[in-house]
Amino acid sequence: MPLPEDIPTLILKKLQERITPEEASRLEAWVAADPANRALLDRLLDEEALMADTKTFDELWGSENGVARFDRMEEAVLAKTAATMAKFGRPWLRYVAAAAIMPLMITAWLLLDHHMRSSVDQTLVAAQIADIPPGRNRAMLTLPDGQTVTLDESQHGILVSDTLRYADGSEVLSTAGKYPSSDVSEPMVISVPRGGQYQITLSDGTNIWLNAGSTLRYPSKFGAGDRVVTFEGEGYFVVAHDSNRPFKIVNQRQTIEVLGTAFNFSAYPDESEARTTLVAGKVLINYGNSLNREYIPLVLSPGQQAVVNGSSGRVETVDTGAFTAWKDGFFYFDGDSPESAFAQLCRWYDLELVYPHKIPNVEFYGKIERNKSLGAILKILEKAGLEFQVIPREAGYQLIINSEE
Amino acid sequence: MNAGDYHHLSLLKKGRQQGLRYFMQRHMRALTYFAQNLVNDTAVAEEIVQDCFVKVWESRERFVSIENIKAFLYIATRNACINHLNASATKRQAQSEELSEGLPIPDNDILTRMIHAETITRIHAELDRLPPQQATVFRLSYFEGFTTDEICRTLGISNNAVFLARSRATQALRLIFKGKGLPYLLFIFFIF
Repeated sequence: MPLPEDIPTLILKKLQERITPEEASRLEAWVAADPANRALLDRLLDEEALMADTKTFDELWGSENGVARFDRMEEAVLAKTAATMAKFGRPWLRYVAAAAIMPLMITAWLLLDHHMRSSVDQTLVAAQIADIPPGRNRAMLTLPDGQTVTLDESQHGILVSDTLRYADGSEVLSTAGKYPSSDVSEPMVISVPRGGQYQITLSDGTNIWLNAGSTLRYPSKFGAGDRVVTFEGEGYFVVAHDSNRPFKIVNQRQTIEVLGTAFNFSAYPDESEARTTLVAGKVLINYGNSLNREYIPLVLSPGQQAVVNGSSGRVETVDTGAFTAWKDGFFYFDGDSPESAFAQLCRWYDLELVYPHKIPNVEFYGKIERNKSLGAILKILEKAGLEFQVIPREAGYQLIINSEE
Repeated sequence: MNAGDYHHLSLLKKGRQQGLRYFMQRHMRALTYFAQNLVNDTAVAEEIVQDCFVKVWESRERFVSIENIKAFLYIATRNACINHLNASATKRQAQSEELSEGLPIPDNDILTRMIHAETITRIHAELDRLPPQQATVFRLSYFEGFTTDEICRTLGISNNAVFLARSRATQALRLIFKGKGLPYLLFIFFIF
């Protein structure tokens, strides 16, 4: 039987799901010892009840009210016990007064110092990076003859049909004859550089949002068989339904087969994990060893995400909004690691990422517009205690992350 | 018993108020919560707990360990609460029944109640470790059930805010209150 004061620690660990088997058996022994113990544990494990109890406690001790209550009670006790202190006399009181003021002064000084330092840092960083704008609509088209065409930045997407048009209907290629005629199927490539994004609607009506640093290879026209494209980077796919012609995305690490559906696919060559996040419909993923063609199938339902890393894969339930927010113009972090969050930033602002120290142990949360300049984003991250440097290099900028600890 | 406990116990026994303050800092919050759950009256709970610390002071020479002090505090507080309830019960029996129905734990076991109070104190301590604005957001979202939009309107901030959590405290709270589904609200940062 553990000492009673050990129990709150065990209960907290259980709540936070970090209880060891040995601790769990100690807690279980305590629970089994008395029905009242079981009733207590049940109450604490009931989130609604726990919330209500914590709220009651907070009403007593939370915020300024709680501090004032504590001071008032402490004062009352000290006043009632002070009579017996008389023999220590006044020098003792002066000591107490001095002792009480010292920490206040130190705290004030620290706050002031911190405030001054952080505002200086912010000004410096802001001056350095004011000139780095967010990513914009950028993409390059490679025609079957190898010729490349830079797509119009004032347009947000292209439409593949008999000819190639921008979303507003204007022709992409002013010179006739360059584009494959409508009766043949030729390989095409659209690539979006870092710091870019673009949309493409394929000949079957499938709509794809391409994120920074992505490449899609597609035929100018789909035939009667499977609709096959190859893809690298990150894209949000809304695949046109056609049960006779399955849509297949081929990637170095996996293939995704769909009938008609919406999902986000993120598979950057420099990231170890490839994620397929299904918003609607159904997809079949085959991953594994492409050399000996030993593929492992994975079926996703809406709200699920497949994470493929080399020859291993798993399925998780996720908030899909966090993974598709980019196409609506947001960074959306939900407990993201620094690696993941900074990789997203660096792709969008076209920066090279450098960690001179260990990677800071932080999690990213929240939603922020992608159309802000880098300076605005870093300002926000700085408030959370991270430190950065942005340094110009021959081919662009480096973002240096200084760990906060 | 760690060195700090021992030091403050000996200060208390020597008649130094600093020792008493240490034990108030350690137990007064949980104890007042414990008392309030019994008497359902904050002012009465406060008074009872204050009196119990005065009793600790008066009996300071008897204590040999901090566990002694803690046990003394909880027993004395429970007894005072029961006396208070009995006194009011004779006057207003009906209300007394109503009160006992409202008690958070059906069982009267003092040890169970103490553990309950201490566990809630520990959880609340995690909330106390948040920066004030994050704590406010936590209160609005978890205690008041406000939506993101309502919180932003209440606090007059833009919905387009982001944050980054790095403290163990935020992590600890997220783990405790996992079912509420609004974790990122905690970390909303305030852009002017």
